[in-house]
Amino acid sequence: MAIFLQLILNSIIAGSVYALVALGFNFIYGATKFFNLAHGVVAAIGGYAFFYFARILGLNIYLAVVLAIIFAGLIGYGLDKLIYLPLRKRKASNMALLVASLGAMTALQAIIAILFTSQFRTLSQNISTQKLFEVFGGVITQTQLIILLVTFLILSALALLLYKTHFGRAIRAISDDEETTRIIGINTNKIIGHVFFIGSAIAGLAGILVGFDTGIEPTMGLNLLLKGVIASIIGGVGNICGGVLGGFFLGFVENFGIWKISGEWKDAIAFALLIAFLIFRPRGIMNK
Amino acid sequence: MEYLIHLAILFAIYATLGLSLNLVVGYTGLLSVTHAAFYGVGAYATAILLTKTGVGFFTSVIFGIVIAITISFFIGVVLSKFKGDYYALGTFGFNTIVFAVFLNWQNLTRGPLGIPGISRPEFFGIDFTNNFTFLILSLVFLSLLYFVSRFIAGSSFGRVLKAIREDETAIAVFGYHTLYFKLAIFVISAAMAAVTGSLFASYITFIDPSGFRLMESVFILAIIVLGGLANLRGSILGAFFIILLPEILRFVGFPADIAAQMRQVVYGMILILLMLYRPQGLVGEYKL
Amino acid sequence: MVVTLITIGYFLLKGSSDFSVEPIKIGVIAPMTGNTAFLGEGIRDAILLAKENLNGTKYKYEVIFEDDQLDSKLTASAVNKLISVDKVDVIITFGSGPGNVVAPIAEQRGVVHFGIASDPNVAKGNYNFIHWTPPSEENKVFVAELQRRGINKLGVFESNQQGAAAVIADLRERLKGTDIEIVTDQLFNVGEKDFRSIITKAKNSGAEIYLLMAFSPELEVLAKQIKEAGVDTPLTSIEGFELTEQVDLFEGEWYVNAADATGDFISKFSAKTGKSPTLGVANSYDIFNLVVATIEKIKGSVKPLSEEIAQEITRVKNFDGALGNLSVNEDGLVISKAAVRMIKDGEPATISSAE
Repeated sequence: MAIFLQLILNSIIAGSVYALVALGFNFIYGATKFFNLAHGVVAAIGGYAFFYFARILGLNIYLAVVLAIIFAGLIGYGLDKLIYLPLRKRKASNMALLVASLGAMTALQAIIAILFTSQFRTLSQNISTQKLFEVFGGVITQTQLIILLVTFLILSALALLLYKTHFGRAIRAISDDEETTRIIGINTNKIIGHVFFIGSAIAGLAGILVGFDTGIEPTMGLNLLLKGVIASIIGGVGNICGGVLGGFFLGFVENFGIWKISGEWKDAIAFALLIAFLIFRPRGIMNK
Repeated sequence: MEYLIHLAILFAIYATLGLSLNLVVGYTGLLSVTHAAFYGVGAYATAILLTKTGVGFFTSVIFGIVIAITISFFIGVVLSKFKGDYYALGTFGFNTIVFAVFLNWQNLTRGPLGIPGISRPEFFGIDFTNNFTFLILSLVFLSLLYFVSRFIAGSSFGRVLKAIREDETAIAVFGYHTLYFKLAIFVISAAMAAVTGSLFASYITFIDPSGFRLMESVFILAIIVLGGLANLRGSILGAFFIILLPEILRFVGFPADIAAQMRQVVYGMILILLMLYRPQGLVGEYKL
Repeated sequence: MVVTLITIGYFLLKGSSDFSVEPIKIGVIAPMTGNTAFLGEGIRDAILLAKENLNGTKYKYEVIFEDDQLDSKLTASAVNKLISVDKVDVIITFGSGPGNVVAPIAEQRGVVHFGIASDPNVAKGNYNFIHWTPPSEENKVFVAELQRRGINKLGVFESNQQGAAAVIADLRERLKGTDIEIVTDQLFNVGEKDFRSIITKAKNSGAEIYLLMAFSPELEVLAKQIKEAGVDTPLTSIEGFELTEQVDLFEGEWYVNAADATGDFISKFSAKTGKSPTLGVANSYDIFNLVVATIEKIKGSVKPLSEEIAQEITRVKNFDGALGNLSVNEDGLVISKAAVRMIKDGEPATISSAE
C-alpha cells in the first residue's frame, strides 16, 4: 500500500513538470498551430538566465527569477518577430517552420554551451538539505511542491486571461480562425507576439523549477518539449486545462508503466500512450 | 583523398535516404519523421546476420527489406488514421519506440554495446574493403534507387500520390482507395531506407542505436526540405549540402574551445536563413 | 558543385607541406557538442593540461580536436579527416562506439589508436590500444570487498550505456558460485532525470547495499532522489563517485575506483578548469603522456613511423600515470589496478589496494 501511494505521488510530481511545460506550449500552439522545436530551448534559457542572475551576478533569488522569466519571454518574442512572423507572412509551410525552429534550437543550444559549458549544474544551493514533506506515507520535496502549486497558479492565471479579458478573447478568436480575426481588424501578429512572450516566459519558469529539482544542461529542452507535447495531445491540443490534465495522466502512465515493465522503456511507454490517443481519441481528453 | 571518398559515400547514403523519404513526404504529402527507424532495421539486419551467421551481404539486404516491409506495413496502417501534424507526432512516437527496441532488446542487438566487426560485402572477388570500390557500390545503389524513384514519380501511381497530397478527399471520390496508395508508398520507401541501412552498416563496420534516434529522422527531413520537396534532384542536392556543410566548417578557424559549438551555431543559422529566404528549398517546386 | 568539392580537396591536400622539424600530430575524437558535450570538454581540458606540462621534448606535439557527438557517421568523418588531411600519427577516441568505428580504420591505414573504451574489441590489432580499467579488475576488488563486509544481497541501479553494461555483465559472471545475489537490477536510460519509481521498486527488494552503476549527471540526481525517498541503504559505486562535483552526497560511502595517484591529478585539473574530472578525463591525460613518453624513447631524431610507435607502446611497463602504475599487456590493454576507497570529509581516501 505504501508503495502504491508513493507511486501515485511520483506520478503527480512527474506530471506537474509535464503539465507546466504543456501549459506554455499549448498556449502558443493554440494561436500559431505549428510545432515549435525551439520551445524547449527557451526553457533551458530560463534556467540559465536564472543561474546567471542569481549565482554569477549574485542578485536576490526572487529578483533573479523575475528577470530570468522576462528574459525567456523576450527570447520567445524575438524568435517570433525575427523568424516565425516573416515565415508566416510568406505563407511558409508548417514544415518550413519546423526546420526553421530546428535551426533556432540548434543555434541557441550551442550558444548556451559556449557561454556556460555543457556541464550539468543544479540550481539549488544545498544538495542534501532540502525540506521534505511527508504526504500519506510518501515523500515530496519543497521544490516539487512549488512546481505543483505554480502549475495550478499559472493555469488559473491563464484561464482568467483567456476568458475574462479582451486580450484573451482575441487569442481565442485567433485560435479558431486567424484569417477571419485579422479581417475584422484585430492586429493578429501583435497579439501572437504577446502570446509568444507569455508562453515562453512560462517555459522559462519551467526551466528554472526543473533546474532546482534536478538541474540544467544546454540540451535539456528537447526532452521536456516532447513530453510537454505528448501531454498536450493527450489532454487536448490548444486547451490549457487539457495540457495540465494530460501532463498528470502521462505521469501516471509512465510511473505505473515502469512498475510493470522496467525503467529503460519509459520513453517508449510515453510515446505508445501518445499513439494510442492519436488512434482512439485524437482530440484528447478535454476536447469533444 | 580518402577523406573525400568517405564524404562521397556518406553523401550517396544520405541522398538515397532523402530520395526515399521524398516519395512519402514530398510527393504524397505525408509528414513522416520516422525514417531512421527503417534505416536502422536494415542496418541491424545486416549487422546481426553478417556477424552471427555465414549469410552474405545481399541475403542480409533481402532480410532487412522483409523486416522493414512488415514493420512499416503495420506502422503505416496505424498512421493512416492520422492527419497533418498529428501524423508527424505519430511518426515521432514510432521512431522512439523502434529506437527503444534497438536499445533494449539486448539479446538481439547487444543494446548500447552495439555490434562491431561487420564485414564488407563480398562478391565477384571484388575487394570492398577498399573505400573507393565501396563508393562505386554506393553510387550504383544510389543510381538504382534514383531510377526507381523517378519511375514511381513519373508513373500514374505517382500522379495519384500527388493528387492525394493536393486533395485526398477529391481523389477518393473518384474511386481511388487512397489508403492502399499511401500504404504502398510508405512501405516502398521503408524498404529503400532499409537497403541504405544495410549499406551503411557494412561501410562503418560498427552499428549502435545512437545512429537511429528521432533527431536522425529530423535530419533526413531537413535534407529534403532544404533540397526541395517533390524534386528528386533536390534531395540529392540537399544531401550534398547537408553532408558537406559541417565538414567545411571543420576547417574554419574557430578558437579550439568553442569551435564545435560555433559550428552548430552557424549550421542552425543557415537552416533558419534558408527557410526565411528560400522556403521551397533550393530547387523545390512545391510547398505543402 | 562537384568542381567546388574538387577544388577544396585539392587545396586541402596541397596544404600538407613539409616542415623542417615535423611535429607529432595527435588527433582526438570526442563529443564536443550535443548531450554529451561535457564529457568531450573534460577530455579536451585534460589533454591540453597534459600538453601544457610538457617540457624538454625531442619533438613538437600538436593536438587536433574533432567533434563526433558519439555518432558513428561523424566519428567516421572525423577519423578520415584526421588521417587523410591532417596526417595524424596518433588518434585518441572516447567511447566503445567510436572506438569500434576507428579501430578497423586505424589498423588498415597503420595509425596508432588509443581508445578509452570498455569493449576489448577496440584493442584488436597491432595499432589499437585501450586505456580503461577493465571490468574484471574492478569487479575482482568489488566482490572481495562485498565478501569481506558480509554482504549477500546487492541492489543495482544500472545506466543503459556501454561502460556500465560491461561492468554489470562481468559482475554477474563473477558472482556465479558465490553466495552474493543481485536482488534487483533497475535499468534506466542515459538522460533520465526521474528515478523515483525505480527507487520505489528497488525498496522492496531487501538489498543491503545499492550499487550505483551510473555516471554524472544521472549519478547525482539518482543519489539525491534516493535520499529524498528516505532510503538510507548504503550506496556504492564502481568509478562513479570521484567523477562528480557533489562528492558530499557520498560522504562515508566506500566504492571501487581505478588506482592510487588520482589525488594530485584531480587538484591540478580542478585548478586549471574549475571543475572536477568527468568520465575518461584521467585516462586521456595518461594516454597523452604515455604516448609522448613512448615516442620520446624511440631512438633517432627523425619522426618515428607509426609502426615503430605501436611496437614501442606494447613494451610500456610501469608507466607512472594519474591512474596509477600502468603497463600494456599483449592484447593492447593498459592494465591499471583498482582499489577500494571511501569519501572522507569530502575527499577520496584509499582504504585498501589490490596487490
